[in-house]
Amino acid sequence: MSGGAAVDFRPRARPLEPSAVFAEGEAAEALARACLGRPPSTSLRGVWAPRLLALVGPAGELPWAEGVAYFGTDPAAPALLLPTHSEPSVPAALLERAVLRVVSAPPVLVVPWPPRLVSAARARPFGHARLRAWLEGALA
Amino acid sequence: MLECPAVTDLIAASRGLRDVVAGACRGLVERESLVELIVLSAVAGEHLLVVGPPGTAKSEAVRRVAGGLGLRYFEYLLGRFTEPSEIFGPVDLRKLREGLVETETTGMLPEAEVAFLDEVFLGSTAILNTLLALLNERVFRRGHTVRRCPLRVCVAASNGLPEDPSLAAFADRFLVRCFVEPVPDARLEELLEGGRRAPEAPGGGAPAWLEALSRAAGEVDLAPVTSTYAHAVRRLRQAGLWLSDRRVVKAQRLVAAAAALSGRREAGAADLWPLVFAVPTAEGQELARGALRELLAGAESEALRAAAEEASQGPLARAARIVRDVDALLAEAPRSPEALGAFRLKLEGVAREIDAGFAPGAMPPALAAARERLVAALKGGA
Repeated sequence: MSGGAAVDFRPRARPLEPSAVFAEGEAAEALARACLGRPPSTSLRGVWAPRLLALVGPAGELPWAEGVAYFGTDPAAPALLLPTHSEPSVPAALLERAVLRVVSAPPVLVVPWPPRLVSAARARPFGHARLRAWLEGALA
Repeated sequence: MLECPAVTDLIAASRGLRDVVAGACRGLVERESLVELIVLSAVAGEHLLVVGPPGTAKSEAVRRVAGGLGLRYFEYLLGRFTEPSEIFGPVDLRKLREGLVETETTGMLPEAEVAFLDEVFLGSTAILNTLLALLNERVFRRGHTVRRCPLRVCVAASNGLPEDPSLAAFADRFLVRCFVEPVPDARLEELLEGGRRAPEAPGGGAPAWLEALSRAAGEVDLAPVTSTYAHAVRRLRQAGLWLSDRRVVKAQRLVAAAAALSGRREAGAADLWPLVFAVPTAEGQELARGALRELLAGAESEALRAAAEEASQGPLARAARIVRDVDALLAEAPRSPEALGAFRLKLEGVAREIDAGFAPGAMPPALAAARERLVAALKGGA
């Protein structure tokens, strides 16, 4: 993930409270449509790219769609957003230090499958208008 | 007491008891574990200490369980100046004329099957000493009165654990410890909604079930789990948690009751979870959950799922609880289009809990099947 050192993930004994949801491809589109099916939220913020969507907000506001993944904060690595159901095979604080060398703008989503790091530092309010624009490919 | 047909099927008995638990929990928020631990203690014949701030529905939970089981109930708020007669009954004046100091116990604690004593540690030495015999031996002794008591479970409540060493021995009689907190912010709406509902009418329970379960708990074979139990106690000691020998021995009764409540005649690793609630402090219970995590990973209770999940924090218990949530939710599908939006949000909430809590490859089969039903409902336009 950073410099070639492999980090595995294993099930957590107790899941983290979700504070972000991430999806790519068809799942990202389904996530956007699920958002549009819910009452507009003022507390959801998002970062996006073509066919990639990450939303940050309180657990109860995070929508669900088939294929999405949820992320939360481990107190041992507060700058990271880690998979809620899995923990890294190395101490979270060490992983945090390594990740911040690569992506210096926290919070950083650590997506294990396929491995990628997504900074949510520039997450912006993501209302229905933006969601529609993203779905239509009009959002850069 | 109501007379019920003899209960031979323990699973059916625990199912009946589960209805009582569900009835007692209705409208109470975040008190599922408390209600279940009262039931577990009643089946095991042990006593429960609830520690938490005032106004957290402690007495309401006990009252509802007693009402649901149709058991005689006594409750009292103790103060520094509470007289023994307020709890055990007044001196019988007719007998006194004959030179006998007898206590008239009608309607008082010595005749109760379920008791709730609020602020128990404020009681005087006279009260606590009489209570000690009542709790330990189920015998009421005062003056010339010596009477066997039908007490199944005494639930005591306090704002905190006593610091006075002289009270520690008394506190140790309460094998099960439950720590309650005020309802969290996120569930305030549920609390308000639940508080508006009319309280459940007492009665309608089936004490014969409780008799059958208590009897079955006494007959549960603990031998298959003894070495695992001892291993768990050693793990606790390695973590710096030294339970008194009395607690270690008596907690086996809770394990046996948990097995009986799940319809098992032999205790197994799935029934070890009550050991966590025998640890006397909140910090200790948190440490115990960590120390016993692997041993309790298979913890599961058909009847007491919230308490088992809270004790073990294990994925199987959590999955079993979610499967039930899914089934209950799908059974209440709304008919009016206006309610569909709120219903869909509830379904999404459970789907989120499943996907946030379990990696696809680590999902127990029953949960995976429940998820499929849930997704089908969501895709079907729920």
